[in-house]
Amino acid sequence: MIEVSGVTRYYGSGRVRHTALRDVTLSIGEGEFVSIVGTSGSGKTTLLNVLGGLDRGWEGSVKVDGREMRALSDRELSALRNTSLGFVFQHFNLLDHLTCQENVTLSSFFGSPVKDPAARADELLRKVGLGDKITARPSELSGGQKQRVAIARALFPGPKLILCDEPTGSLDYKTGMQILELFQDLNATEGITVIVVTHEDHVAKVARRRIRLEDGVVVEDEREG
Amino acid sequence: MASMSKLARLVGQNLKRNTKDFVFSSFGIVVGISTFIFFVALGQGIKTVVLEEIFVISQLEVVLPSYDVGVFRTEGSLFGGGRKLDDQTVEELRKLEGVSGVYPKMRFEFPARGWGGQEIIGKTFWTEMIADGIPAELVQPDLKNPEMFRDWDAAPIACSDDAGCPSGRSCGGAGVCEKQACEPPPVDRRGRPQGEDPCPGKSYCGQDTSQCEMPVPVVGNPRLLEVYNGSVHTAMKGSNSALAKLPRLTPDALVGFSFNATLGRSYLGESGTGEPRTRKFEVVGFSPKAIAIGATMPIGYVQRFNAMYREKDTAETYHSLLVEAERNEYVAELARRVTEEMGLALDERYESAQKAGLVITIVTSIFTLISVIIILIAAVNIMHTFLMVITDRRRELGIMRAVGATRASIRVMVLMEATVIGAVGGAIGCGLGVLAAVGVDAAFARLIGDFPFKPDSLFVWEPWFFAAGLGGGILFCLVGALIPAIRASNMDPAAALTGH
Repeated sequence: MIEVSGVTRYYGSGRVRHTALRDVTLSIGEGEFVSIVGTSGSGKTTLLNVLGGLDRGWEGSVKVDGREMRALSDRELSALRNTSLGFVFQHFNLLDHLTCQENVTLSSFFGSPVKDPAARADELLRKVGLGDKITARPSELSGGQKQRVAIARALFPGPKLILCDEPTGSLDYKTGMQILELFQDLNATEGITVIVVTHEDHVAKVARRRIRLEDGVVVEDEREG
Repeated sequence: MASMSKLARLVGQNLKRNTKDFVFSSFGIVVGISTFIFFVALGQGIKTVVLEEIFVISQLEVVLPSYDVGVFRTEGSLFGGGRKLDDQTVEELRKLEGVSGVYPKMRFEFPARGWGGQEIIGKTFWTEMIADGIPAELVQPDLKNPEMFRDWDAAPIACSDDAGCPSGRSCGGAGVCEKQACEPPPVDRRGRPQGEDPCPGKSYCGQDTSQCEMPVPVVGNPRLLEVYNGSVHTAMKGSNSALAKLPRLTPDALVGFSFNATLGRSYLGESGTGEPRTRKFEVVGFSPKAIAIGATMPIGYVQRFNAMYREKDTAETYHSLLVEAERNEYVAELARRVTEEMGLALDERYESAQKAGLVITIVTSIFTLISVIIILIAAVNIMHTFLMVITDRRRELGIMRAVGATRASIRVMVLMEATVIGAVGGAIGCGLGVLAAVGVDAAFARLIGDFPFKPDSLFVWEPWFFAAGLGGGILFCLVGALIPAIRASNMDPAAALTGH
């Protein structure tokens, strides 16, 4: 599913150049549930952005679903994000002026192949337990509910891979665990590859594979069983 | 590729969110467009009055060149010979490219005195008569009854019965109308007929011909009415002059008015050849091609009258030739060829029209430039607003990129917002421009008194003004939003999402 080889990412230039990722090489198979753990500034969000094609200023090679990310044009990369990838962020990143349904269907505004976006959004909102919040706006929801809308949005195009950046970082422990259970369920029942970036050990432990980053270097790659 | 209808939905929601910002930033566009449309319409309105009513810019009046020799001024060649304005010159002018017609004009070359007006002002009004003749077809398109402006004596009128003949004529055996004989009524010492005229209908009994004659049809120039209504009528109101009784005159009110003239005699003297003769004239309409002050009749009458009172040569040369251009754009080139290649001159009005047109164009251009500067400043304001809005929406744009928006989609979305603002601003600007014009027109009508050529409206509206207003509003908003749109589309989505 994902092949990362010798990826290095610098920020800045000259004497103020900071290395966020240093020669990272790893491989993630289809249907895996992986957590990327590390302290703040260890490069885990950078790695996630590289995998999701949101960051293009890196060196090395990244293949997602067999496609070399570096070789893709902006249009092709956007199409990949539009149809095959889903993102979940710590601060939910919902558009406040849109309803839950509109937030979920956001990718359809930019060319998603989903035939009936509204029906698909309603189905996904029901699946994450928000069937009664279809027309609500994000400001009317709790933190946990907002993150469920964000998950529904990530699921909307029927992705093979969901990339989550600190998905429980803005939630209390109980709500955070409910969200993680949702990811576990999606991984188990639908075979979606899930990569969760976190600095919290209890979150990392939910995944069957844990990759630890320190100063941009993979220092540990632990698998359960 | 993003669906345009779906993007339009997003655009609508974005505009709704930032209504205050956009209303404020589009204020300049509204002011600029309304100023633009106002001044362009005003310029067009003034141009129409000046160049189409005061000076008829699509026509050139060709005359013989004149030379100043000390205090004297002479027409034609300085040492005799040279060009004449005759039928040969008419043919040469007709052959010039861009000429749609050449119409000779011939003036009365003898003294004449007109009288009439008893029916209107209650007493007979006497005046020197100034008149010229032009081809009937030049004037007929301007008349409600063009068939009345004809030379009744030019050629025999075919008929099958009396009904097919004009008043005072009967259908003769040869199948042409023949003038009926009549006994002219006696005249007073000033030549005015006394008693009933024996001829039927419009015709009158000719003192010298003893036949029923049709009155000579004449047309007046609407400018004469403008001058009368705008100055004379206003000045005479309340005076003890007979003219004080005159109402404001309209072309329709004067059609049918008839007067008499003694040809060959005036207050200034008598013609050396030919006996004085009295003729009746009838106003059949008004045309801007008629002589500015005086009466214009079919040229055949003038040719015959000139032949009666002057040498033959006078009846074969014209005092000017009216050259009509196919399009206004050809006039300048025609003027050059007529003066430089043919050695003829143009009536002074052409130069005045050129100067007036230039002044109007310069003034209109200055105001249009001012409005364009306002719109440019507004475009800069639009740019600032969009830059601010885009900074505010940075994270949101990052999310859109994350869910699959291409750079082009982001650019299109921002430019669509600018298009809507430009279209709305342009439409409101056009509306305000028209409203301002209506207000100015109302104030103009109420506060400014009558004057010659006072138009009903100072403004002339053409569809392209509105298209330009709307298009200009959109264009300048797009120009203003272009840099912000490019900046938004080039935004690094990862940095936008993390807030860096």
